[in-house]
Order: sequence, then C-alpha cells, then structure tokens
Amino acid sequence: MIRVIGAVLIIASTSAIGVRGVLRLRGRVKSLESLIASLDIMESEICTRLTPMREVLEMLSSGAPLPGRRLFENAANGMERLGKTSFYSIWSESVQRTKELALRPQEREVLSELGLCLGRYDVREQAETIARIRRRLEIFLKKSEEERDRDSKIHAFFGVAAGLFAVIILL
Amino acid sequence: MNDEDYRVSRYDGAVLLLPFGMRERARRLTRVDRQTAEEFRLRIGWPPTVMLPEGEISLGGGPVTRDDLSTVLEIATEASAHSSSQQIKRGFLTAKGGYRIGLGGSVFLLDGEVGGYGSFTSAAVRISREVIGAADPLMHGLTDGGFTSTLIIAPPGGGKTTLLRDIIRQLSDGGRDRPEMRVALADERGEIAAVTEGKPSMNVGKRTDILDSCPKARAVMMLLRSMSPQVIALDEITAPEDISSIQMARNCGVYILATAHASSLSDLLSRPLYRDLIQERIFDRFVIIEKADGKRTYRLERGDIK
Repeated sequence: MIRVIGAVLIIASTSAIGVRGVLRLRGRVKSLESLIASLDIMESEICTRLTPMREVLEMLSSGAPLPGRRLFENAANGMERLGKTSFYSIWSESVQRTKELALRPQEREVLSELGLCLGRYDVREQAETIARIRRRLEIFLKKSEEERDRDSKIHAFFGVAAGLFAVIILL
Repeated sequence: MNDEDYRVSRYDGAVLLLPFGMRERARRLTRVDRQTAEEFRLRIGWPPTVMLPEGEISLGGGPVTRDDLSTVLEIATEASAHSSSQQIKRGFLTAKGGYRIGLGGSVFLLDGEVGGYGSFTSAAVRISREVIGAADPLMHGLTDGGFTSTLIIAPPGGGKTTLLRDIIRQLSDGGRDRPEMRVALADERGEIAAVTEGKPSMNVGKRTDILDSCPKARAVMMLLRSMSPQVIALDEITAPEDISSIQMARNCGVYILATAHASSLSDLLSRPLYRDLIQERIFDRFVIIEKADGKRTYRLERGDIK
C-alpha cells in the first residue's frame, strides 16, 4: 500500500512540474496579450486625449486585462515617489517587480524602455515609442505562442513520463 | 508660520522642482537669500543660477543639460508634459503650488501660429509668494467712495502680481468699511490663484470666480457673460484684444482691476496700446509700484491723466 501511495505521489509531483511548465508558457502568452491590449488604451489616452499619466495608470489599474493590470497598479502606486525619483525609475522598477507578469528578462527590458518616453512633452515621440514597443511585444507574443503550442504537450508528457520512469526504476 | 518661514518654505518648494542633482546646492544658500530669491534659471551649457534682489548668482556644479530640463518638466507636470502642451505652447507652465516655469527653446509654427517647442534650451522657475496684507496701505484709497477700475503699474519683477492678488482677496472678502464684491479672475498663466486639482493654492478671497489657462481677452468675455461679476481682474495687459475686452467689460458696467508693465505713468502714456485706455478713462485709479532702497512703495493716483 505504501508503495502505491509513493508511486502516486511521485507521478503527481513530476506531473505537477510538467503542468507548471505548461502554465508558465500560457502565462507568458497571456501576459504579452494583456500588455499589448493595454498599450493600445495607453496610446489613445496619451496621444489623443492627452490624459495625465497618473490618470492613465489609474485607469489601466482598474480596466486593463490581467495580469498586465498588476504592472499599472504598481506603477500607479509608485507615482507617490515622483519628484523624489524619476518616472523612468518608477516604471522600470514596476516592470521588474510585477511578478504576476510571466515575462523573460529581455521582454522586461523592452517594456522598461517605455518609461524613457512616457509623459514627455512630445506626443508624437510617445506615439512612435509606444508603437515600437508594441511591435516588439507582438514579436515576443508570436514566439511565445509558437513555444506554447510546441512545448505544452512536451511539458505535460515529460511530466507524467518522468514520474512513471522514476516509479519503474524505484520499484 | 511667520513671514520669514513662509518665504523660505516657498523657496524650498521651488527647489523640489529642480533636477535631483541641483537641489543640494540650491539648499546651501543662506536663510536670507532663500527668503529673497526670486527665480532659478537653468540654461543649457551653463551652471544653474538663482536670481536674488542684488542679481543672478551661480549655484555652481556642472552645466545644465537637456535631460535636466526634461526632468524639470517631468516634475512640474507630474510626468504628464503632454497634458500641459497647450500651456507650454504659450511659453510657460504652472506647477503644483503655483510656481510658474517660463520656457525658452526652439518653437515651430503651424499655420502661422506657434505649434509647440521642438526643443527646450532654458527654464526660469519663478518663486511666487503670497503676501497677505500687501495691499493694506492702499485699500482705503482704492475703495474710498466705492471701488472703481484700477491699473497697477510697475516694471517686470516689481511685485504687480503679488499686489493684484491681495487687492482681489480684500475686495472679494470685504472689510469693516467695505462690502464683499463678486470678483471674476482671468488667470491666464495660473499664477494669481495657482489652481491645482480644482483648488486655488493662493488666497484670492471667498467671492472670487476663477477662469484659468484661458487667453485673457477670451476669459474676460466668458466671465462677463457667465459670472455676472462686479470686478474683473486680470494680469498684464499686453495685446490689443485685451484692451477691446476691457472696453467691452467697462461698457457693461463692470470694474476692471489689471496690471501693466511700465516704469511710470509717462512711460505708459508713451505707448499707443495703453494711451487709448487712459484717454478713454477706462481706469479711474492708478497704483504705481516704486522701489527705493530695496523696499517697495505704492503711489496712488487718480484718473485725470492726459
């Protein structure tokens, strides 16, 4: 009986690792999708309605899709420090600290760059930068979708298979 | 808070608009200098300076950079310079607390009008201060027999806005021997009432309606139609359209309280723009601000000036 329970536990653990991998792949896609959708709202608020940055961030904190929304919540909270620190620092810290975003370091880097232009005087420059960042996120999104489609089954399969293999060896 | 502390606190507030690296040097000034400082000047390629009554002195440190000016804009607009683009287009912006920041740089034109700035080359952070009671020595003379249209005259930096603000407050609040008046304030540069988040940062009285960030001439007409004022107050008459709107308001029986750049009444009369206003007797009283031994004095003159 103990052996059966042990085998089940081993298979469940390795499967869980596999499922986690699958969820990470899906989470990355979802993160990038939510960020791209949010950038669209951001661009229209900044470039068309000339909405102040604090309001844009607060709006996205409540209306942007998850998990991207968490980034805007953190940035909106960080605005209290504006004046003591630069907007770029507030933004890039928020990008790095928002763990709900399943992004890779390179993707976080690209997103941080946005902080260099947001809230600047030149609206056209902001529109161009937002569009450029959006294009780069779309490339990341395409790659992440490919990875998700390609690797999800592999993760799930290897999770279960590794468990079974370990059980066979141990038994 | 006494007057000295208040003056220093306004200075300290303006320091917070400077780039982070400059603040410490700005704080090293003596207390007396911090009380009297009028402006910070930031010019690309030169060290930042502070304007004291005796002149402009360097704050030291490295030259001002383009990034420094961007930082000033970022702080003043709360990272929303794009939202203030209409105000910036007119050459200045008003930060929280009523600090006015004048901007120099390269402008570009769109259909013959200023479209905006291509780049910024300098900034002047004005340390405006409210002086409650500044108009005390004048109020009796200004309201004797009832308030009538008044023009405040002084050269740039002479204290016109400070005096104007306190007269507005005193007319609006009324006093022991004078009734409260409905004052409408056309605050184009947002420097008189310094409205931030819908609330005036400076005391302009309880019966004052404010229209800010709107060109003066248009603001006067809007206030005239919408707020049924007894007095319309505005800073710095500079353009023919300002004069037309003032004449219109006077024809409607509304009194005007305004300021103009001039060193004296004769200087004012020598300019065609103002000559008509004076000859038409739009203003009944003139307050001339004079500076002697570093102190400001006010001289009140009545209408018949030719």
